[in-house]
Amino acid sequence: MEFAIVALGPMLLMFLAAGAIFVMQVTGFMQNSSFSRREQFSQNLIKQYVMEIALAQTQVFQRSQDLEILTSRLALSNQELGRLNDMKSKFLSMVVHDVRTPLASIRGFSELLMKKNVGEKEAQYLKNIVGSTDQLGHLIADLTDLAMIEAGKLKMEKTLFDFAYVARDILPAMTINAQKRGVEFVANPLPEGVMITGDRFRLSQVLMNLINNAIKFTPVGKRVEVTLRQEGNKACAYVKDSGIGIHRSETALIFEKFYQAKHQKDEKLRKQGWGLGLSIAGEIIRGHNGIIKATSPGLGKGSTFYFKIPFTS
Amino acid sequence: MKVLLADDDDNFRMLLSEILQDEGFEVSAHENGQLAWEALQAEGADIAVLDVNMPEMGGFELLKLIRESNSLAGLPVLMMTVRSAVTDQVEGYDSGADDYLAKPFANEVLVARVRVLERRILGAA
Repeated sequence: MEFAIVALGPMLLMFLAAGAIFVMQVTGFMQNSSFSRREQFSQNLIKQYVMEIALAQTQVFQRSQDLEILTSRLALSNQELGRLNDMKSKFLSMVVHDVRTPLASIRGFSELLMKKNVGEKEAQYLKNIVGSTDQLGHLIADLTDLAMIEAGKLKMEKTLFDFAYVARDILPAMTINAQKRGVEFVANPLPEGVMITGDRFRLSQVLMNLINNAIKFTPVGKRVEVTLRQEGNKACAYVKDSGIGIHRSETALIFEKFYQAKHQKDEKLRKQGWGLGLSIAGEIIRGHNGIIKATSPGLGKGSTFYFKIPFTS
Repeated sequence: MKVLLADDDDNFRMLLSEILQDEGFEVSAHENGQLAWEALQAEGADIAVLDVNMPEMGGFELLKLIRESNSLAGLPVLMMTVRSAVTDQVEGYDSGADDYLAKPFANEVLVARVRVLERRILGAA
């Protein structure tokens, strides 16, 4: 219907213009030379304008048709983009799924072999295989989370629980990790009776990620400190390290997917990790309507990572 | 102590059988939920270790059949999956599983979890 109006409009105008020209010519002929030259001139001018308007109208019609074609093309490519994004998410979760099963076999059989009578060297090799599969396993766990975030399927539980459990569940394992790396690990007394609504396991995952990062980037003999406390109507967790620090320009960027710190000179430290952990942590904290941030006095001067979430998120 | 095992991955099924047999368990291994269900009905088991994703009949489906049956309803069930998401774990517990393991896991962890289920049976008996 709209199309008909758009198409008929200019045509009607063209008919009108032709009619006007005809009338003008007829009257011109009838009144002949009794008209002054000046009047003849203005008539010619009007004729010209009317023709120009008619021409412009056809052009507008042409343009709007072009635009319509472009719009439908854009809609098509948007559709295609959406489909590709969907495919990417499906692909990711498929890969994650299909990699885990053989990985589980590799890990398990290596462990099984270790128990048989193998030499010292062979035992070490097998240990390396197990270690590497664990590394891959962690990466895949992160990718699983990422796939779920991308697909909008990362769901948060909403249950009431004691905030201290976010740390209590993971501190023993973190202490062992720190010991292995020769890093001093201090957990300040946990607050009591701070009740929050949210996903206990996911929040533990975030804190674990922050602590593991802190341990990873802190040199032997230096210290990592964890503090949980209540601030107003927020539950807060701080992880302070005395590690390599973060450049001021990067304290926000490091929470982006796949981001690797550029201002870090130490290649080996820089290349550790896939830049997924923090972006997932950010996603989880945002899911609790909270904030997650990093501060650092500068490179080499340590950093503090913290998150704050409202009691009822 | 007889463990019924269901996993569609041949390598992994063999691995789990070995691990559990090394620990002195009798193992009845099957490649899908349907076969496992038939074996359960025919010969029974003390503990079930089930993979979630299997052709024919998946782990959750089999678990449902077990919980709804008369004679097997109390069978301790350990679910295994390649998904580690917490929501999946909750789904596992909600559907009536006694325990839940995400692949890959350490052999000792599997053994420890199966031992817990074993103690529960022995304690109840």
